[in-house]
Amino acid sequence: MNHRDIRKLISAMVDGELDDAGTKRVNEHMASCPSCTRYARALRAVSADIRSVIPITLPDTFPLAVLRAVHAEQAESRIWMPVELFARRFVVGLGAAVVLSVALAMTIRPEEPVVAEPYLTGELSDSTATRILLTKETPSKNDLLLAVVSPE
Amino acid sequence: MNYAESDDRSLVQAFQNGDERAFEEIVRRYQRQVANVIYMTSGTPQDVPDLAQEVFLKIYKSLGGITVEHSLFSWIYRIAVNVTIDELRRRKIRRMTSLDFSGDPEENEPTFRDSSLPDDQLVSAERREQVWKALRKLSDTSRTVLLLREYEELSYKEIGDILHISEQAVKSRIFRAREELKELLKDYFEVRP
Repeated sequence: MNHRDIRKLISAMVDGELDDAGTKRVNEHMASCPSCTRYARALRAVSADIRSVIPITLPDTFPLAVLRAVHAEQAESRIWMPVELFARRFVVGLGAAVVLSVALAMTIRPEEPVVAEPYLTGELSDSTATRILLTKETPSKNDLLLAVVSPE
Repeated sequence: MNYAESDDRSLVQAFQNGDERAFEEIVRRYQRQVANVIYMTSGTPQDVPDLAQEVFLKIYKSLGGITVEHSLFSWIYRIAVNVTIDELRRRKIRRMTSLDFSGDPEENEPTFRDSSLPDDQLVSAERREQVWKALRKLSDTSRTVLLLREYEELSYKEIGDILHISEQAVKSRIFRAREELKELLKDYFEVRP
């Protein structure tokens, strides 16, 4: 066992958590190792110093103060509960109204009237098709059809 | 009903059945440990009452839904540590955002049991102050395990129950914490006769 292993055992021994066999082994090692003996002594001193910090004590009335705080918080939440409930309902209602409005708008929106192309109704057309036809050098079949039905 | 003799499990059950006196007894039973966990984690005694109250308010709100399988203290302990660490984090953020670096984190040193006295004892007080400062520099994991051992005087098994780790892991963590402490207190470990 090296010094580090022994010191791990020393740490447990200082805490009273080392079995008899381990304690015997540590004591045998320390008998010939001043460094580990100093380590054990320092650990005990540090323990004592940590324990010497004065513990904080809360007053005996602390449990009642906690209960008072609990009740105060409950009372406050009771006061705000109707407001919170109203606010929640308002937000939910508003959301529902928006969704409904959008749905209705989409459902009942009047469709664009179907307007017959002017060249089919006999009116003078300035539609794109007509304008294209007039500029075409070699019109296609469709272009010709448009030209026939469009009164130029 | 007087709950002073009741075990933790009965107290929790009584509270869950609507008896607030059971909660009062839980506070009475664990207020010392909670106060010291907060104190040791935050290092500022003046924080303790408010944070302790916050811890028990959280416990009150959550106690209705728990079943005590292991240790009630371990559950309470974790809440206390979390509340304190959250508070320290909030303060750190506030300090960073306000660029207020005037506060000295070491200005709230603890008091020691016999720090008031003749020269040799003043030397002891000085040494303890060193230990305290070193303790504050340890990682949260190391400080927690060491304080549970040294300050609460819990056994490795009890610490293992609280932290949900094996006794062997407790043993290793305590040793590591002491090794960290040794690095921070070199004089202490090397000069002492």
